[in-house]
Amino acid sequence: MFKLFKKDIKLFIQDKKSLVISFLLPVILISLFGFIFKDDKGNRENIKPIRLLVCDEDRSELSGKLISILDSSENINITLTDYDKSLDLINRGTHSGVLIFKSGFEDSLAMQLSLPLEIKYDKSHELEIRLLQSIIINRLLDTLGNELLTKSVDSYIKGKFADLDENILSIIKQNSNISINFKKLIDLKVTSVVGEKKNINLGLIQAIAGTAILILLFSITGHATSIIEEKENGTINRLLCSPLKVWHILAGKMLSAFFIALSQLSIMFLFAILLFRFDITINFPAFILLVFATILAVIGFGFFLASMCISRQQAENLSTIVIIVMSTIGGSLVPLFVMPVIMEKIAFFSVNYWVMQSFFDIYWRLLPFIEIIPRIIVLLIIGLTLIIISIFLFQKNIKKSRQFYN
Amino acid sequence: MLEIKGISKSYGDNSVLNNISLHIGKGDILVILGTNGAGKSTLINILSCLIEPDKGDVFFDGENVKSNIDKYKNKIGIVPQEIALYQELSAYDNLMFWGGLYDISRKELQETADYVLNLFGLYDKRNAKIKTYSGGMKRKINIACSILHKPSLLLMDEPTVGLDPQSTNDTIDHIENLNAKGMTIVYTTHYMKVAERLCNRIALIDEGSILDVGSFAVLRGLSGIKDSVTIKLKNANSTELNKLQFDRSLYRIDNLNNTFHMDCEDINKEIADIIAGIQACNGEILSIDTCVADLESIFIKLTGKMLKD
Repeated sequence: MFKLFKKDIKLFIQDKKSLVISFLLPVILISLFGFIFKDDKGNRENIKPIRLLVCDEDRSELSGKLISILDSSENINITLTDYDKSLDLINRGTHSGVLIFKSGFEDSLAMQLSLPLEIKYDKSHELEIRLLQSIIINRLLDTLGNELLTKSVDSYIKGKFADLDENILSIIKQNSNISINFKKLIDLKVTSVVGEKKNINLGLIQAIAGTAILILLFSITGHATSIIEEKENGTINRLLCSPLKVWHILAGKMLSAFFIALSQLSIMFLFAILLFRFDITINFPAFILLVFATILAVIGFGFFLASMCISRQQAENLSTIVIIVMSTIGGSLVPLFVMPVIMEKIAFFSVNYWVMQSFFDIYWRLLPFIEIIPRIIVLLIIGLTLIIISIFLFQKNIKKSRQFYN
Repeated sequence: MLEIKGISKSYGDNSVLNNISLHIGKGDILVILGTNGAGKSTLINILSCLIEPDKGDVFFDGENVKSNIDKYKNKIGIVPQEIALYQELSAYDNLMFWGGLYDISRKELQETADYVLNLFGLYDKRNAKIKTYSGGMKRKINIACSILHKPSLLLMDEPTVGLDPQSTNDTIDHIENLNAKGMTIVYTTHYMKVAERLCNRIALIDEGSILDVGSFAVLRGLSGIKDSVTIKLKNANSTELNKLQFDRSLYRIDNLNNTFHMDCEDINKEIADIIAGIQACNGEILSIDTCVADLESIFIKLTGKMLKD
């Protein structure tokens, strides 16, 4: 038994690539997930700043003062804008929500009426907005407490004793024991403006899009790396002895990869339609274009990865690491909005990010076709660029070892 | 049909082929015989258009291959050293795929595939996956895939490597059949027995250079190796061997060991005369040991190297 143990350990150690993947992959994943989640729970001091739009329709001294106080908070990044633009930005997914100081804000405070404050937000950022709501209420209570008390007492006495001396009034204010129902006054209304138009489940979109891109990346990269296997078993050379050219072989491989990817996506979406009643017809032309761009980008990625490797084993190990890391930072495994800002920026370099965001554009943000196009164009550019690079690398690799006539 | 003129190929400082020139006539079988690493596969790869030579040219039917590569590729068939087949596909699917790369109608391809499956005795197993085939069966399909488009020149790179003697003989039978039907064949091997069976013409290659080319008889002549016979006599001293009618330069008598040794051109033809001559001189023969000059001894003589099976 000990001899068997010794033999297996020896084999395990000698397979350097498996050894690397066995230890490197968990370390990478722990680092990534740790980085994503470490600051998000139980430590509000280190929460990433929330990008909040503010629309000041009251334009009063008080609303201005409150905006400066909120802006000075390290947890909130304020951008002043108007109402229409703020809704547009939320719809596009660039901001989580907008805080609106409606007209009559300052007057309502003076009259002790409910303050006309509202947050409109993207429902996909529910957690973030709930947190924001709590921060805003605390700040308002801190700031408006004295202001409210002073104004309330002032207003009450002036109503009863119009001719009272200012000095006496000041003494009364300082010693008054008037209670005000702040919570009744600061009744912050929260309304979602994205994700409410249709009965769509955010988690379902995340699950479908996240799974689809992850599966495609694995299957197409596996398909692309079969070209290395063909190189190893001699079928590529045999093909090259036939009247075929190198690009014929690559084009054939890519075409079959396209067919496989399309079949996989069709089955996944059909399943989602039947089981979860997922409505893919919301913006069908955009959906078709996105499917095409996604497949192209995944083919580009898969063939690029395969062209970088010299053996199938190496390609399998590398692709496992790269795909899982890319899917994690790209939002396939973990929703992007729970990640630190830096991770959101790194996500730009991931195919997953562009696919996931395009999906959200279509099915969550319900953007019109023309506004979905830019992200799809990015996917097409990624796909075409990687395909061109991989064709170049494949030809170079083959020529390096064989030096073809053509 | 095929003219190789002054082909040289190097990888860095390592010269693999040095100024190779060969002529292969229509209907010939040229066996390129050499040790591992002698340059056989590199030469086949150049003829297959997989490698570009540093120097020299290949002419097919008088045309430089470089100038009309597509036409050339359509006229040649390649049997690679590896089993270059799709293991998960059936034999029939493999044949249809590899044959389909050439300009053949589907109907003609189906007929040819059926024909070669019958020829190699694999028709009944045509729908079985290649991975379920034995080594010999795989080799047969490996060859079959190369002849579907009826090439006029078949390049075979050690197609019997790893086969048992029976499968090797079967494969050679098929190659001879193809040649009998007019197919020109270039065959590389380091197996002496295979080379001897196919010895229409043999090119001996060593360290990237062609040492000699010719039929077995020509190579034997070039090497100077002859057949020989050693006859053990009861008493060489008492025998009147000085009366022997043979050329004295061809034989020698060892009185100490009582043996008679003689070199000859063809032992099979001459042995009867030798025995009769000795007996005519009252020689009493105890045993006869013959040694036939084979390709191996010729190869060793010419290259100074052993071929390993």
